[in-house]
Amino acid sequence: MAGHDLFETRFADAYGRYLREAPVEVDAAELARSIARAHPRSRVAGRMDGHRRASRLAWLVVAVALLATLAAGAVMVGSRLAPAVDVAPTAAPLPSTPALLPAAGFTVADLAGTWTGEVLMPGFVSPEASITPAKDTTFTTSVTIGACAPGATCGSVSYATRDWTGSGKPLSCSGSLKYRGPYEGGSGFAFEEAISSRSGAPVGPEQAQACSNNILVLTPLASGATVGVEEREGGMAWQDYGVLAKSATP
Amino acid sequence: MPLSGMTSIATTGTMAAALDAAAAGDEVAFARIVAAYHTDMVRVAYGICGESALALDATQAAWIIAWRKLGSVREPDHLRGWLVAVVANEARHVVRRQRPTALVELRRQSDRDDLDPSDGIDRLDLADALRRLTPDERSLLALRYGAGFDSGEIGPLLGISGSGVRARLARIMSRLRKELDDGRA
Repeated sequence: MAGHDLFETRFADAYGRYLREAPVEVDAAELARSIARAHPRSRVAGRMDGHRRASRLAWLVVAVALLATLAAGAVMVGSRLAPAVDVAPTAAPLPSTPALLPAAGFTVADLAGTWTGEVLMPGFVSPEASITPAKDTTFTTSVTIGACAPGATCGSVSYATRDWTGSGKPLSCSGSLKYRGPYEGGSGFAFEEAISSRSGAPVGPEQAQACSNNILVLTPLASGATVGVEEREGGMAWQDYGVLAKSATP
Repeated sequence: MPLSGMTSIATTGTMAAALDAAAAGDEVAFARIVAAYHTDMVRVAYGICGESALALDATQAAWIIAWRKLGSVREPDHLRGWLVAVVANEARHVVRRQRPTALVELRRQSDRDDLDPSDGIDRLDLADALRRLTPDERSLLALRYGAGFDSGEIGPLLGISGSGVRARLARIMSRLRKELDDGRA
């Protein structure tokens, strides 16, 4: 223990010197002024209020026009249908979800489909390769998302090591995903993993984390054809990050 | 163990007043908060990003968020922790977006020029060891050894328990000990 304390002291000293390399000089008044003027609160709020009012008005007009069209269509078409016509059941509508990612305009419904790609789990160089992956491990990953409402199990996930020579043993697992809701104020969509099957043995704590019940965060990127994926242990992102592409739609 | 050179301004009534005024849109009051905590925030961001330009980007983004959301800080005593949590979060986002570049930058030649043989831990070895950690692991180190928070304070900032913070820190320090201290004893 004493040895550890001594190391911690030496580390804290060296780390302190390291952090003091950071450029900390600042003209606080100028920085505050530039931020305050680039992001004026009242005017932003005013614009947002105006935008919301305009949006509500636009939606009201659209809704009235749609109802009128539907009513007219019902009168014209309904009278021509035989009463015994079979009507195929339609798919249940996606549950309404809170507006998310307002800047990009994505909702969790945009995640519906199958996403595949590679997720990198950084390892670290260690002399104890028997218990710890000695280098980064790449997992081929497949995530399928259906119609999600907060708290609903609506997807599945599977992982398998692609190049396991560095980790020593192959490892794969799969499970279901429960939609948890927006993540970090709308920067992504969070899902709770429930791993139900595993094959292979994890090597060290890093790989064990890869097949445990983590939090999976999917963030639509750019056009929505790709998502950023993060594998988070509790509130932390410990090991995994990558980009998945949409390979199938429901 | 907080850095000796870091800001340790107690949140006095004056700072509480500055917080109230800045939350109401007072630029001068906001400048006082910037002056008080900018150093802390840049250093925490640097600890996570490992590169000056990225740390400054993260700090700038954090100050913009702070300007917009200062009103959500209800307890003036929580201001420093809130600001540091915001910049740590921004730094994690920045370094993930810039990850390949950051890995290269950490190995620039100038690092070797800064070596001080009298250091207990070699600066380049330290930078390499930090590079191999994840951004969140570096966040923990920056909050613990940079900002000087204890595990009970770090937990609420990151949404994990204090015991979880201790366990993770112990695991990180064990790794660093193996990488930086092996062969010395």
